[in-house]
Amino acid sequence: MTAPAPVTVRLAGVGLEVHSPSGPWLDRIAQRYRGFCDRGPGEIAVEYTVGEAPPRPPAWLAWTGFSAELDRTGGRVRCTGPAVVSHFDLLLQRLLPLILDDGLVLHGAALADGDRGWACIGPSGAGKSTLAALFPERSLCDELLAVRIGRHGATLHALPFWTARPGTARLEAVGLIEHGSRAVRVPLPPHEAVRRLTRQAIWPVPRSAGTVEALLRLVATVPVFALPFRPHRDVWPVLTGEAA
Amino acid sequence: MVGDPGRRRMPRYARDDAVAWRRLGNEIVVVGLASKRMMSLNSAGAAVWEQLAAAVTLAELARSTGMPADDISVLLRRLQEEGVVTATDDDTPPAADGGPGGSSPGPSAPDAPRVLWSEPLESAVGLCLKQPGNPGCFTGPFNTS
Repeated sequence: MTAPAPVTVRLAGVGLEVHSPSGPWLDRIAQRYRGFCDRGPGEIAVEYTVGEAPPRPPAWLAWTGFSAELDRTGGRVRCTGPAVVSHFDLLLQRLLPLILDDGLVLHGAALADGDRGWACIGPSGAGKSTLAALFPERSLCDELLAVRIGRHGATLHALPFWTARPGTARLEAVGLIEHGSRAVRVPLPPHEAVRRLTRQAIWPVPRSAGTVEALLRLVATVPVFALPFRPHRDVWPVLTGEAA
Repeated sequence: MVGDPGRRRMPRYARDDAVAWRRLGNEIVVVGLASKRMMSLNSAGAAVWEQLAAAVTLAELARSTGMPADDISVLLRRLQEEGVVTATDDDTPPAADGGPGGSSPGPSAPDAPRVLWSEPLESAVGLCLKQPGNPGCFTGPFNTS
């Protein structure tokens, strides 16, 4: 019997090639991540067996009914869990920070205008979804984003959480958003930027120096500012720095 | 092994291996991966930090930075407590002098080398399972082996 063709989920330029004996499960993955999916090869193999994971510590990731083993050198993840997409979401949220050696995953909304992008970072309730909804034409995603930092600057990547479409842009700046009475851009000293961004990073498990170094490079590469705003489109020129 | 009684043990200080750091403007931000602490050093503290690439004594630090040894000593103790600097004993003879201001008394000057702030390295972010039928955020526990 032929195994179903794998589905490749591409996140921040990394292809996660998902294999499973269950064709319907792969179809659900493809549906959940449509726009971020193709059938091409990936760099990381994720083998997902649908079933109840036995209690088998130690595992790389484990929670009730789910268990995953990670082979970093082999670029492979083997997991067992239910055919529930939220478990797969969580797996990806934990896997991506680990494999982005030159970047990090942050709790934020990504907005882009052409090839220019802005990361709007903040905890739950800060206004990520509000901001994204104000600019549906510019919003890439409203919950989690990735930033990769190379020789020529930082690149913003949309991640499929939750209202999202694929997209990449040159990262112009990072705004730490919060609700306020009016939009204002308040530059942050570097250490304060690090302090606040650290709280909004998804840390890899096990913790690695890569994410920390990426965060420090990010603060050294692009402006980081606090951005209180009211839910109005007048925030845009403030976010982009075009406001007087 | 019996040490030479004519020699005094001088601690040598160096950065811990599991540390990420970067100079940002006048400050240096240090993140201890093992200690799970992050902190920022002021300009003078940054100058000391940059000398800690190789294991050095307090007297050597005082000489190379031109800062009072007492002030540097306070910083080194703090960095050890934060888990980002380690000290090892060394049998080399002490330097003839303790460096400039090696016996500086009294309170440190405002521009003395110091940690501006430090806090645990923690993420406040819960991973959301915001899907139909799963309205909450996942808070673990993860197996972190």
